[in-house]
This record gives sequence, structure tokens and C-alpha cells, in this order.
Amino acid sequence: MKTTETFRLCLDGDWSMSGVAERFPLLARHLSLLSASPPDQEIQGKESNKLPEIDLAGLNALDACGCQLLALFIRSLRRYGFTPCVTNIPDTFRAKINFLGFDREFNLSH
Amino acid sequence: MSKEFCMTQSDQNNINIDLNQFNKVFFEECAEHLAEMEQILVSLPDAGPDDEQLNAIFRAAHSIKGGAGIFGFQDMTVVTHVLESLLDLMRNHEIAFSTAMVDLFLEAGDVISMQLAGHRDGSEVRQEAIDQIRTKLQQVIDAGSVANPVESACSPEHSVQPVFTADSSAVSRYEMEFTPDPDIFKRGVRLESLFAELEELGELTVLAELPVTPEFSTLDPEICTSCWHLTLVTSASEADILDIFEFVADVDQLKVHKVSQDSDINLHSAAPELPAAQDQDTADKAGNDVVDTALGRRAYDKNELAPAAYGRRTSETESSIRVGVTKVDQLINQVGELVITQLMLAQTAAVLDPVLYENLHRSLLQLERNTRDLQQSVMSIRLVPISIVFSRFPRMVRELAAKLGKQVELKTVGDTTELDKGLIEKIADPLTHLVRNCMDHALETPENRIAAGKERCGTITLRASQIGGRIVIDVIDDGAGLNRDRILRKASERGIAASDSMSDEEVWQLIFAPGFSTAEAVTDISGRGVGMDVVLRNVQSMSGRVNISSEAGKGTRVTISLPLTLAILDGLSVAVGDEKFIIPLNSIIESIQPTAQSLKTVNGKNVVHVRGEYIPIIPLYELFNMDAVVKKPEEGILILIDVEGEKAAVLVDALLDEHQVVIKSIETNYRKVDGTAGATILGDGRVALILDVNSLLQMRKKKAVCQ
Repeated sequence: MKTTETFRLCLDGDWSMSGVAERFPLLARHLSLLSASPPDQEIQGKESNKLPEIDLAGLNALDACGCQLLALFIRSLRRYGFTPCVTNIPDTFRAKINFLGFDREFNLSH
Repeated sequence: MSKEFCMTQSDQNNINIDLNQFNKVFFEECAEHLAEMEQILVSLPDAGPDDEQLNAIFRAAHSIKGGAGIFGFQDMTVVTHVLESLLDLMRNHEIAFSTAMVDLFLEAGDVISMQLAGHRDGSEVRQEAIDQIRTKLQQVIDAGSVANPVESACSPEHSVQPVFTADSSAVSRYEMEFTPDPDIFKRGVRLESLFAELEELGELTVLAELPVTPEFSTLDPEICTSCWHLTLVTSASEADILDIFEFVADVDQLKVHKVSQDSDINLHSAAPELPAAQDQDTADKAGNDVVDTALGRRAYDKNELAPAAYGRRTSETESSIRVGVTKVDQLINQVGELVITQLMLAQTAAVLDPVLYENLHRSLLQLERNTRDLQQSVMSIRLVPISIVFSRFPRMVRELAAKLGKQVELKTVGDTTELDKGLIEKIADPLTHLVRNCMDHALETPENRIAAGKERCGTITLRASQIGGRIVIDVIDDGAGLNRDRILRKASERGIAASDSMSDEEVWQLIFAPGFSTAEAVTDISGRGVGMDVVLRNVQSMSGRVNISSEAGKGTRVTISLPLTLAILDGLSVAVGDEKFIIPLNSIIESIQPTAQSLKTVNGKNVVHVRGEYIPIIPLYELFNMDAVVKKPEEGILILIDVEGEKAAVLVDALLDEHQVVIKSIETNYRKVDGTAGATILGDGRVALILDVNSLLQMRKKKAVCQ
């Protein structure tokens, strides 16, 4: 039996060039926490899967620099075997992610 | 099961990124575009611009807008957007040119300049001026293109309507690979604006790629590791695309592939496949017209013959680099030190036997030659063409002529004459005064000119040339000439010593008296009498001279003579007691050993009689309170100097040598010393003061008054 654990990561604030340096340590810390218990381990004979959910509802700024950081974060999660999902993207930021060409990295459907 | 890790929003401390160095490039290039736009506008014939001129103006506006958007100066895109829209309609012959548009475009340029200055210098930006010009431009668009209205300028950032329409020319597909500088984010470049600019050219598809995925904990979030594959279906040219990357991409950072040129491509149904690199083989195999270009901001202008290349920077400029003035000055100072060291070596070696030390002497001679060459090369870095100053006058003349109801043609000659950058900055104001004077006082109205048997249109000529070691700038008009009687009358009214027996040259000099003006009425252009004395003072502060020649009814010529540079000087070293001084050669008439008979006393002052003139004697030892070997003029040397027609004889102990000296600021290193223009280091390592002959005369006069 396969169970799914959802980790919701709620991001807010400034994810533009002027804010990424401040945001980065928090992302790194969360990645470190998540990577400590990688998915797809047999727990008590059950197969588990972890689905980190990256909630962007609280963002108030996003630019190419922020998109790149989030894309690298998503890639790193995938590298550890997670299947991250980006959710609650405000319309303006969704358009911006598409416009800047990061939609594929974010796995967004148009 | 759900676990939440919520990042709380802390107060944002904006990261202090020094964007100044990057903004500076934009400010400089924006100013260049504005100047270029103005230059074309004021030179337009009545028939209006041709296609190349129109394209050049459009490109300037387009580049300013693009740069402003990319660097985050969104306010600057507002006016440029409407301006660009109007120019584009004109390019497409949807709106016809009218002469009133020139004023409108110049006004728009002024507003953009004001916004630029606001960002660059923190000066005031008048929003009402911005709103006003935007409305005016929009009104022209609305009135001229009812059938094909242009999108409102209110939200330029979100304007994605392609400026280039499919039916205007053949549509091509360009695939671009953009690998920006790693520090592009730190530079504050907004890629959204860059891509929005591209989108205005046609249909754009963007794909970001992360070629590497570094270990997350070690990455620098501000470094750009992404690259972008862009596909653009457009009727715009490759040059238009490259223009957009002007501020952000170097040669090796942008690759443009023109994949196809097909007028059948439908702008709205094009479905480019990405990434471009993967598509390349297919495109090649399909036999499409593939043009590989790897160009960026430093290379895009190389095709000067391309359509719409008019007015773009020359290949010479394109192969140049921008270097801060302080760096150049530092280099000049260091070369100056080298020259001094070389002089010291030469002086030390001078006492060595020329036969025994033949090789040393030969090497030192070679060193001297090399040092001089190096000094000249370095000095030439600071030289800039005088066209930088001349280019400001066409518009000024145009506007003043309209205001005064006069017809004036401005001619410039010798625009490429080079002058020290420091002098260029200082000469602009005096020249402006002189040109305004020509416009207001010298040139007659068309009616008066016809009555005087002249052409309706007057002429002002600005001529620059290098004569010997000096730059000579003439401001010539073919107006009424100076009125000798009126000048003498005004001088008498103002209590300035003048008489009918004065020569013309002496009378013309009267107009340099402070507050002197013969204008019947004070206008906002000139006539307050604060012009010519300021001109003289400014020119003299540059070690320059002003001469006037004038002929009634024919016109006036004002000649400004300036040294080539302020950093080195040809001087004569003289001794007074144990000290050495440098007297600038350009102020020396001659040196004499006076006889006792030629020395007189007039009103208690010592003078020397030279060829019918009594010239006051200035003993340097007295002015500087020094012990001198020679105190009697007949035992020493008198150096006759001339400062703007005023002569004096400087008493020194001995003449030493003629030097080209490197001027050092004494004020910066010590304090202001009256009577000096700086100091230099001599070959023996000693410091010698460079005399300011004008200041010496003032000191002598002050001393005489005190006595």
C-alpha cells in the first residue's frame, strides 16, 4: 500500500532580486530537513511517497532571479526523489513564470 | 497527513546593490541617443525627414525606452512609448510629417532628458511636463490615425501589440540563445522588460533552461545560471532585435539564428519548436535560410551600411571603451611622475663623462623620447572633439531665431578639432554667451538686412582649429558689427575711461568691462551686460585669450585662443635668490637686461622704457617676500609679459632653462598661493612654483593701492 505525505511549504514576501538572498537560507534549511528523510523508503512494510507542496499564495514580488531560485529548489527536491508541486500561484505571477519561460521547470500547465 | 512549514514574512531589508556603475552606462547611452535624436531633428529640411532619418529617430527613442524598461526606470518609458508609437506610424506613412512635429519631438526629448537628469542627478522632475507632452503626442496620433488607432500609452509595460505588422514586410523566424552575464540580476536588469520589448516585435516564445543544477546549499541565489531559448516570429529586422539587447548582452552572450524568411508565416499561428538548439539540425536539413549571427551590444552596429543605420554610432566609437575620467587623470599623473623621474635621471647623468658613459647617455636619450611619446599619447586620451560643444548650438539658434523673428544659418567648421575634456566643459558657457549675443544684438532682422543690401538670412559661423600649441575658436557673424560710437558713449556713461582717440581694438576691449552693455533693451536672451566680462573671465581662467575684430555693417569675429591642455605647460624657469619659478612661455614677449638709462620712476613706481612704452616693473622677490641676489633692475633680467594687452616686466635674478612642465595643484597639496597657477617638480627634485602672470598683475595693483 502506498501512502502519500504532503509537506506544504508556504512562501511569502519578496522573491525578486532584492529579496532572494534573505529567502535563500530558509529554502536551504527546508531542503536539508526534507532530504534527511528521503521518500520511497519501506516504512513498516508500506511504501510511502512524499509530495512537497510549494504554496506561493503569499508572494508579493517575483522576478527572473526568484523564478530561477525556485526552479533550482524544485530540481533539488526532485534530485532527492520528491515530486514537488507548486500551488496557489497568484495569476500575475503565473503569467510572469510563463512569460519568463520557467513554466516547464515549475511543471505548470498553460 | 499534512505538515506545514510556513515561512513568515520578515521585514525586508533591501540588499544594497551598487547599481550605479551599470546605471551610469545607461545614462550615458541614453544621453547619446537624445543628443543624436536632437541633432537629426534640428537638421531636418522643411520637406521633413527621409526614411533613414525617421528610422534613426525611431531607433533612438526605441533604445531609450528599451534601456529604461530594462534598468527599471519605468517612468522614462511613458513618454518614449508614445513617441515611439507616433514615429512608427510616420515610418509606415500612416501619419504625415509636419514641421510642428519637430518642436513636439524636441519637447519630448527635453522631457526625457529631465527624467534622465532626475534619475542621474536627483534633480526635480515635473510630472505636469510629462503628462503634457504625452497628451500632445497622443493627440497627434489620435488625429492622424483614426482608421488605425494606436494603443494607449497608459500602460506601456503591458503593451504587447506588435509594432511591426505582418503585412509590412516578409515575416521571419528568429531563434535566439541568450546566456546572460552571471551578474545580470545584480545589475538590476529586468528580463521581463527585455522580453516584453521583444514581444512588441512579434510573437515570442520563451523557454528558460538551467544547464546545471548546483548543490543547493552552496549556490549563490543572485548569480544567474539560467539561459534562455527565445523564438520570435516577426517582420522586424535582425538589427531591431539586437537593438533590444543593446544594454544587456555582449557579443558572446547572444546568438541569433534567422531560421526562415517566409511571407506566408502567419504571425498568430506560428508554433515554434523549442529549444532552438535542438531545432537547428532540422532547420538546416530543411534547407531553410539559416543565418548565424553572434552579435551583441558591442557588435551590432558594425553594419553601418544596413538600412536604418543612419545616425548610429560610428565604427570608431563602437571599438572604443568607456573609461572614467578619474582613471585617465590618474594615468596622466603617473606619466607626469615618470617624466619628472626621467628629468632627474637626465640631470644626474649630465655630469657624467659622455665618452665613458656613452651607452648610458644613449639609453637616457631613448628614455626621454619614449617618455615624451608616452606622455603625448596619454594626454591625447583626454582630448575630445569640439563637436561635443558645437552640437548644442543648432537647436539653440533655431529656437532663438524663431523667438527673435530672425533668419539665421549656423555653420560649424573644424568640428573634429580636439580639445582637453576639462576645457571642453568650461568653454561651453562662454560660447553660449557669444552665440546668444550674436543672435540678439549682432544679427539684424530680415527686413533690416534686406535694407542693408544683405541676404535675408544671417550667418553665424563657429570655427575651431589648432594653431601651434593652441586651439583657436572663432565666433563669426555677418551682422551689423560693433558700433564704436555707441560703445564709447556707454563707456563714458558708466564712468569707464574712454576717449575718441582710442584705436578700434581698444574700443572693442571696453565691452569686456563688468556690466557693460549697449543693448537698448534688456531681454531674456541678453542685454544685461553680464555676458562679455564673464566670457573673458572664464576664458582667462583656462589660460586663454579673447580678441575681437569688427567692421561696421560687415560683422564681428570673436576669437578665443586656448592652450591645448591644462596638464602640461611650456615654461621658462627663472631664479630668484635660492628659488626657482616657472613663467608660462605663452605670456612672455621677451627678456631684456635693462640699462640704467631705460629705468625710470613714474609716480613713485619703477618702470622700464622699451620702444616708446613705459612698462611697470614687478620685482618677484618683493611680491613673495624673499631674499634675492639681485634687487636692482639694472643688475638682473626683466622678463616682459603680456596679459590681454597689459604689459609688465618681471624682475628675476637669472634665466635658467626652457621646460615642458607637468602642472601639479599646489592648492590640493598645500594651500592657495597668490600669484601662482600651480607647481611642478624639476629635474633635481625641487618644487618650482608656476607663476600666474594675470594674478601677478593684480597683486602689483593691490600693492600699489595699499602703498
